[in-house]
Amino acid sequence: MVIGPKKSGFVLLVVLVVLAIAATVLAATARRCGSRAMAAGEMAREIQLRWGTISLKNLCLNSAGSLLNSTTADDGPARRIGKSLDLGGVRFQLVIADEGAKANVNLLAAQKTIGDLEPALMDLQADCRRVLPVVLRPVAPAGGRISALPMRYISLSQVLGFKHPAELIDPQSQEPSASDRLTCWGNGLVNFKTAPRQILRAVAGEVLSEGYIEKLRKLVAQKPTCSLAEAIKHLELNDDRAKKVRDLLTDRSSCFSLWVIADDGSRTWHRLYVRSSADTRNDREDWTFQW
Amino acid sequence: MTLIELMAALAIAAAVSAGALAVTAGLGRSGRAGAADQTRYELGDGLHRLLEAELAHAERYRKTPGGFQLQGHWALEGPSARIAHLPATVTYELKPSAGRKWLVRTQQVENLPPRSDLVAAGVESIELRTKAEGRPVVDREGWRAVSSEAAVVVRMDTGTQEVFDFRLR
Repeated sequence: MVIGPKKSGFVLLVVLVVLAIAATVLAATARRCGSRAMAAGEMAREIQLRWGTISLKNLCLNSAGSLLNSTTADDGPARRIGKSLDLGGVRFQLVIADEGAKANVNLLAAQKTIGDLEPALMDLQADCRRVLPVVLRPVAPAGGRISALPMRYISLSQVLGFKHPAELIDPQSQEPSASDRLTCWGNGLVNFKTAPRQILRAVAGEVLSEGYIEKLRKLVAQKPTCSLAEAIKHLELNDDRAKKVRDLLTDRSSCFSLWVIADDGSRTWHRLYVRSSADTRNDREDWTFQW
Repeated sequence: MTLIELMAALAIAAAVSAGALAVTAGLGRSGRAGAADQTRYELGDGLHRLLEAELAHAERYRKTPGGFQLQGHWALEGPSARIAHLPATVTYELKPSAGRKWLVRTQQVENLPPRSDLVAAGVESIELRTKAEGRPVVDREGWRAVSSEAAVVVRMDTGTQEVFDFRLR
């Protein structure tokens, strides 16, 4: 009887095949786990961003007036407050601003021709960190809204040429940005106690000369709580001029804005919320702008 | 090697081959399911982001046959669909073509030519639900104010359904 060589390669082959299958299954499982972990991380960031933004909006926008009044600048209540904080790994930068301290584009559009409006808006940005080109895109005012001022401009996209919202606002900079000077929201009246000189000049320059504006600012510095009636009396304006001033200026702001800039280290989100309170001439308005 | 050993080896080989085939088939199914899940997730995520931004900027809405219209201040501009806050009327509607329904977004900004973008393929229906439905109609054209909460229900022709809930104000 002849005994041939022993054939044991079959077992090795089977073991190798089984190992290859096991490795493939493990690799596929690891890949799926990895992608799901990444998606979960992304969702966690998204939730943090949403809740952070909602919380800050509810906290700051509802009490913007009192927050600004409690922070006193050199010449009266602050026009803008900037804060930053970290929530769950996302850095939030906030800018709370008084829209009544800015020149309302709709008011200027009602006062001026479109040819005069463009240089006026450029002048208002003269001291800004970055002067943005004026690109006017007015629309017919929408119906169904009570507004003393025709709302031909409802966003800064209709007024300024910019590619990124960071061009509109810089929470770190001490220099003003375009959105610190211009607004599209609110009743159009400028708060003479919080508005800077160039805003008063741009809005009420045809009624109040430079001397009157200087006198007004001195009065506010001496008595930050003075009313518009007291200011008109102090300026000794005649009835006609006093009426025009009452149509342009106010002593209380009713429109505030909140910029929320969130940064998670890899991406930055910009949100702008504006709330305008209702009064005898205007509906309450809430505006949201996301980029 | 005896006949019994040979039979045993063949049986083991058959069992291992069957197992290998089952695992490979399972991997294929899992891969296809994973890809379908991924596609569904991406479509849902994209739709969610688009509709959220659309509704956050919307002031009024009205229902249309097979879709809805929004009036607000959010528009897309240029080939890269850059965001611009311009007053716009946006229509979401289904358009049938090649045996499927396609979800199309059409925006009208003032006097500019309308812009249409394909949003998703294979959408059976889309419906906007808001709490404002109990409120009075704003005007004769059927526009209503958008309320603080809204939901968009999207049914796909594969039988799946996505419900997107939004808190807007």
